[in-house]
Amino acid sequence: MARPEGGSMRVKIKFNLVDEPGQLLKALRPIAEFGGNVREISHLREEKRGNMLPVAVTFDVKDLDQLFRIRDAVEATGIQVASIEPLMEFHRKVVIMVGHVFATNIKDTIDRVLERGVMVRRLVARIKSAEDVSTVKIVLEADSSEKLESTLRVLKKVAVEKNLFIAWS
Amino acid sequence: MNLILIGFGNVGRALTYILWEKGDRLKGLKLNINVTGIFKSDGGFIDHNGLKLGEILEKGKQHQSWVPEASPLSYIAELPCDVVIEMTPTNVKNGEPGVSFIRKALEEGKDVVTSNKGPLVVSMKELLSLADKKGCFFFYEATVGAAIPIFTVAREFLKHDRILCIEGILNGTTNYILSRMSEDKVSFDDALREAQEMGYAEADPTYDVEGIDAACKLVILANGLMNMNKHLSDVEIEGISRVTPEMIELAEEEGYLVKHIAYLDEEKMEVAPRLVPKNSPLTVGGTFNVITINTELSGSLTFIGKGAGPRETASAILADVITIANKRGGIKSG
Repeated sequence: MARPEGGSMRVKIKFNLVDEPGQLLKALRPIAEFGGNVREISHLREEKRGNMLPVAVTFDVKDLDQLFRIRDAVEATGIQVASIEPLMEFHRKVVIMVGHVFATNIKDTIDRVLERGVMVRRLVARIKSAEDVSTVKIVLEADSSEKLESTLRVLKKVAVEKNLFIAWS
Repeated sequence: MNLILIGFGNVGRALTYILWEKGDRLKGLKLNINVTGIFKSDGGFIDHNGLKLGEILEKGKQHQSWVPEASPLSYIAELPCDVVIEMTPTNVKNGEPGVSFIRKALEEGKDVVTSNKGPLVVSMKELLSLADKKGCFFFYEATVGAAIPIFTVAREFLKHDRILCIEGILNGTTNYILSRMSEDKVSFDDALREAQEMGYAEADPTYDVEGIDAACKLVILANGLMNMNKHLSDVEIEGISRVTPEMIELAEEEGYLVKHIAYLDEEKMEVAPRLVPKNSPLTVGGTFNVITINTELSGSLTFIGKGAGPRETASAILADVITIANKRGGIKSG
């Protein structure tokens, strides 16, 4: 479905925090509150100046509006935002498969559909028994929507071959 | 304006009832409608001067106007008639008997309105070009989304624009089943049984559940709105009978609902279960239908409405008839 819900952007914000307990939480709270999805936190101890410790937080937002809301909320707490660095725009597609997903070799399924630049971010399975069909969700991420579409095209073919029933975002 | 009605099932009866019940309102629109023939598969009610609709609804075949074995093919040319309304059951294999009735009506120079998908899925281009050649109107608003005025909007308001893609939920039965599975955690089998008990699904639900009905409507949208020449075989179709409660649950964890989506652009036509963001306009519940058209200039336009039901379908037919009356400048000679 060609709609913006599938897309997102990743940013790295550098804060100057007072090096004392509770400061990081104060900076992270607005990110969570406004729906940012935190990926990575790095304490930049080598850049420490006096009692000020720079911390880099990498997180995903849907758009610039969301990013600016987060920045304003962080600054409202008195924390200084030193820099904002866009990392990359990435695209996400969720695929859910129903069938004998494991008996038909899920590793082979994934190996065949993944191309360079596409990765499996998460895989969740619901298995009842060896005889029953299982339901497996794969969250795919890529740096372009074209790559995800091409992955999906291959997956559809593999699904037909392996008698898997799929729904996708 | 003289009408001939072909088909007297749920939709034909609903239309007859509305024409009878709303006669005064139609006269207020300066539309004097006269029905000269109503045909069933085994005969017809016929009166050159206009049938008494209330009496026919009450007495059925006991009415004096009933002529056993009368066929519309013999009467279309003979009876006073401006518009033929074709409402026979859908047959997606060869479009009959609808195709023959519509062809005959157009050949006789009559405007045609239909609620029957069959003739359009099988012979849409042929019938549209015959209508064009004969200078007749051939409208089919009721075939997709019942009273959702999708073709009228495109014809009247988007002439200047270009439709890039269309997506939507075109079948109320599958939407009811998926909505029940999602909202009340019932299984596919239970939701289907319930849909049958409520009269939303047929005893043989294959046509709806396996996506054939939605695919037929997609073909009509492709040909009617995007000037294509598509057939049922051009649509990739996947039904919903293999949707599991676990699939719905896993989708919801990501903020999606499982919906049976029909999709069309210049490259592909597809009916399949899809994961739709919960905040999307496509996530209508119950038996509702929804159609979004994405256009070059007007952006995205979404229409929601009851996609089935005799009164809604009859209403769409009547809207087409009124459009024809307006385009003909009131009343055309019979």
